Amino acid sequence: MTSERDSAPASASAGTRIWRMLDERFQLSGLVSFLGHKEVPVGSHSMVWYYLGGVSLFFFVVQIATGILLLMNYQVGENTSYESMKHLVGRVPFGWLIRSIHCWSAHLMSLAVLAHLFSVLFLKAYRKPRELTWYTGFAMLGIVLGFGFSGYLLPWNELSYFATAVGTDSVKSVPIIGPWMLRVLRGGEEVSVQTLYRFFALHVCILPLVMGAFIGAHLLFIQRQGMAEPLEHDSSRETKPRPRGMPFFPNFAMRDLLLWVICLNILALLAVALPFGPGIPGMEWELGAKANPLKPAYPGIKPEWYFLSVYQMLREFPAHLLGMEGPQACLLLASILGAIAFAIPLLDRNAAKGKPSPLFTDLGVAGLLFLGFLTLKAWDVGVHAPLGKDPAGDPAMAATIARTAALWIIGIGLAAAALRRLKWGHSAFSFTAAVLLQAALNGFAHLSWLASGGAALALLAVLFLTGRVRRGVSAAALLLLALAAPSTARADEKGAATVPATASAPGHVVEEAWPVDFQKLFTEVDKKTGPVLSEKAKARFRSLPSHAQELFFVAAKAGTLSSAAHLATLLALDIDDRKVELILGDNCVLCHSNPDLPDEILFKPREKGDANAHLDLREIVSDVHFRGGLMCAGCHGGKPTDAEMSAEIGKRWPASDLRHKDRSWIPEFCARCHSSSEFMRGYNPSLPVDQLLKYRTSKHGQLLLGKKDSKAAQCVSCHGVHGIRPPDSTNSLVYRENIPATCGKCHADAAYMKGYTLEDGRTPIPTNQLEQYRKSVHGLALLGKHDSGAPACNGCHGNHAALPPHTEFVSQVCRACHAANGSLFDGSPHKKAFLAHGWPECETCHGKHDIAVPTDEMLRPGPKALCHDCHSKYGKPICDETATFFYDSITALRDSHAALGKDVDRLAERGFDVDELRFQSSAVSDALRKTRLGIHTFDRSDFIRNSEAASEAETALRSAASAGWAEYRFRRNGLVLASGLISVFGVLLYLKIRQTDRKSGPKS
Amino acid sequence: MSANRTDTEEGKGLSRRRWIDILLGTSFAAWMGAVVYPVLRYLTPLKDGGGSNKATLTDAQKQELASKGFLIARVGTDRVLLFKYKEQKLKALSAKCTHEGCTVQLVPADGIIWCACHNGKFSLDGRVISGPPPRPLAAFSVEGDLKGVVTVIKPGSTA
Repeated sequence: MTSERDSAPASASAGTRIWRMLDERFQLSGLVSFLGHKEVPVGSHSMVWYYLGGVSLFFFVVQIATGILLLMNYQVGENTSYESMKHLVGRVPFGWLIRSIHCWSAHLMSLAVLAHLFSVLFLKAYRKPRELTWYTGFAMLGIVLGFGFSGYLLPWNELSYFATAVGTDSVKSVPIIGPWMLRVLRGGEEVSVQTLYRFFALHVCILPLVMGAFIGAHLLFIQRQGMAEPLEHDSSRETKPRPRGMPFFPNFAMRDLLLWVICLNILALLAVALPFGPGIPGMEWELGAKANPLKPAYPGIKPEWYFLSVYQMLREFPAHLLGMEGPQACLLLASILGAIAFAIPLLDRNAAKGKPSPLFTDLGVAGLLFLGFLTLKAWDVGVHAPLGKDPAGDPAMAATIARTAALWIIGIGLAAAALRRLKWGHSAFSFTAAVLLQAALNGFAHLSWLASGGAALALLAVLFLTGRVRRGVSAAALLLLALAAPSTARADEKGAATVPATASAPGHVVEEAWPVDFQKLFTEVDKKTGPVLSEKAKARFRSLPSHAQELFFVAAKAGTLSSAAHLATLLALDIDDRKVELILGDNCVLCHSNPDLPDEILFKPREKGDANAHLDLREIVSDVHFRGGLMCAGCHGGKPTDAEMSAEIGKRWPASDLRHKDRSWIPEFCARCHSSSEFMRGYNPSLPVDQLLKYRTSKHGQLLLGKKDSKAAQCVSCHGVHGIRPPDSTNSLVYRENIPATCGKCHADAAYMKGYTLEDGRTPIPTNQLEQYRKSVHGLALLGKHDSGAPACNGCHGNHAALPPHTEFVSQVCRACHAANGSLFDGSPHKKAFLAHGWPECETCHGKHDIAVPTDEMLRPGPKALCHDCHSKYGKPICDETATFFYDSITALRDSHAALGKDVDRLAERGFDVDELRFQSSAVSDALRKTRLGIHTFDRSDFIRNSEAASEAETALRSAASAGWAEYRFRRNGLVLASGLISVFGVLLYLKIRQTDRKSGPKS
Repeated sequence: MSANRTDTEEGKGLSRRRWIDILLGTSFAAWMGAVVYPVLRYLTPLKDGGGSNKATLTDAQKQELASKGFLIARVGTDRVLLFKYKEQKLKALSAKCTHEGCTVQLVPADGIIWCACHNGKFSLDGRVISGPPPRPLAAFSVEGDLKGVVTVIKPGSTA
């Protein structure tokens, strides 16, 4: 090469002249000559492994370049990080591409670094004298993971926020300094904007500088020592001469360049085809929603794929293990495994002497299988969990996941073992066997991952003791064995959670001072089921203040608290201490809630084994009256402190044989308080006091009070008794969603309603209203979608003044919500026609209890026709034509809008930011809704005004979607062009490599 | 004879080598173009990056304009000088000196607009009176008055 340059004629090319000029000044030929003499070992081994370091470096350079470009648009900050990324991806030309390349390249870099590390492990390139190269490489793997972790948070979206919260949280498990490290890492107690600032500094400044230093050291070591030769060269050095290697420059360097070109082409292809990643958990970077610390985390949040194995390991650990917390134990295990991997050059004594060390090859394979099994489990292989559900939480799904992962790993492991045995004659499979055993036990024998690991380590120990494992790895095996004990022994969580029965804290009566009769109840043990009082109930009693505890002692002494079961029922109530005192101070409650008292004094027959059968205390403590401090005596009379039934009780009501036959006393009885504004002011001043007045005017009131019909509904029928909740409680009988069922108790019961007629006095009142309502648009909205705006029965019929609305007023009821439709109808030609025929306005077309979801098909002749049926009898031909015109216009808009919606979805699938398009689409939906509403004018000109507005909105959406597709085609064509150019360059480079090889002699 | 053939082969080899070099260089340049083009497009700011072509004055700005007699406000990416002109009407001129782009100021006592950087002077209708500025200050249109809503609109824009 040099001689060619020397003999170049005076009329040399411009390139040659420039080379000469530079060479003269900087003596570059010396460098070229050095690189030319540098050789890459050639032998029977594959050379592919020598390129992986270069590929990792290439991706790192891509990261630096795209990272710098991203910095020109990214603004770190709570209110800017997400917004600037959204702007970058959605608006900045090629911003999506730069981000996509940065993300893809990050993942590919991690993959390349891991592949490089394992190739070095399998080729034993870490052996003396290259230990330091291994250590620096290992450190760089850590830095790469740090890059991934810190970069993940920077878009400040939901996924990144929670992944960082979980990821950083594990740091606190480090003994002693853990909590401090957590605070330093997060810049506070929680993941906040301070964390964002720190991670930003780490990602764009600290880590790149550290990485640069390590890359420099790593390359320097390689330059000084050359590339590692295969192990067989060491062992055959004395018998055979050292084979000649491939010149680093230009032969190897050009191959390196060719591989980089291929990598770049793959990167471009992935970045354009899948700009937000392949959508596998741990490999997706769609921006989604902005981080909101106050929003609950959703299930299924997973870290990046390279952290999945550690993430899964954390999940496999119980809450406590050998006195340590689960995460602490997991961190310890992960650290030990990491330390073993780091120290391999020290542990592998055979390779250091140039001898084969097959056990470390097996250790590498086993390591891959071990990480692979955990990763597959974290990926939830084998199950399709519904969105928002964590399959690992379901035992059946978790078993399927473990089984599928085990199948995969055992399949891959056996295939690898067969290949190693048949192709390379390997004989060491101990570690692989241990890992496969763990997978099998976990996947098929339903043993926990840790217990399976313990069994696998026991196998390893047996192999070790029987001499199968040789001295070279004894240190590693011993270290692993140290973990066997923690894996097999599980801490007894139940025992750990038990509250010690120690003496009570100040403010409570000490246990020694408890009366004997109470202590007996407290500690009573059932021969079959064990202690009657649960630990929780006992802890509840111990936490009560001393005066509340004393009330229990008094009740136990008086016999009103007669059994342990009764005590357990009282202590299980979810009420505060004050309410406990209230109940314990009321003998009515104590006696009537005592399951040991005879059935005669009960209100209803007792069911076997039901402690609350008589007076359900859970109902009592939920009652709005009880919560307001009104106890039994308030309605029943008597005194709460009476030990015996007082004669006062019952005096307020009619005699028991009469009061059940004639219920007309009830409204008046409740109204004693509820009609008194003076009285109600002391409890609920905002509650109206006109219920009785209204009730008297209602159909129910007229029947009960006027005709003494005790079947008619009164206060208790709708509100219940002893468990009356406020109407906004979901358990209340008059809670909006419960009203249809409450009314339906009577109105849907044909036997009960028999004999009741409509106003004509002949037609029986139908009993299918509830059934019809449930299927109606209102029923579906209220009961199905829990839309509290939808009306229940009382929405149209009223509450206490419940009356059926008369035909002529039905439309006024509808107008309470559908005001716009009503006013449009008022100006329409239909108004007159309906009046003339005496038809109710809305009900005529939409029905009553069975109001269906209106469809466009109602407008045209057909099975669902509505307009046509009437028009054919009463209307003119123009009426039908107008209806058809409405139908054609609306369906044309509807169908094209639906098609555009699909178009937008397809763009989203192709990785486009479609927020703006979706916003425009919702504007079209809005305009379409207005157009449909406009039908109620039954006038073409009004309708056209609305439909034109919808049409305009749709045109704007169409042109925006077209622009999106044009951008898509541009991206696709750009990719084809760029890919073509890179490929041509690659092919030519390949030809050049062949040419160079021919010139300097054929090489492998 | 054989020597001749070898020469010819070498010649062919040389020309092929040169062709590969040329194609390799060309395809490398084209490939670099494919890399550089998106980067250049990425670095080119968006045309509407500065926002709107019109601005409505806030109450605070109107107060400042009423008390001081002039105000320098932002309209999109432009700096605009607003001041009370004849018969208390409002006038708006670009506040960017046409010489080197410094921000000009109103000197009410002299009834001129002055640029402190190189002593450029403009009349109140934007014409150059003295100094190095090569062109007059561009006029912006103003709608409304200080009692109501004041909107400043960039010339040539439809907004």
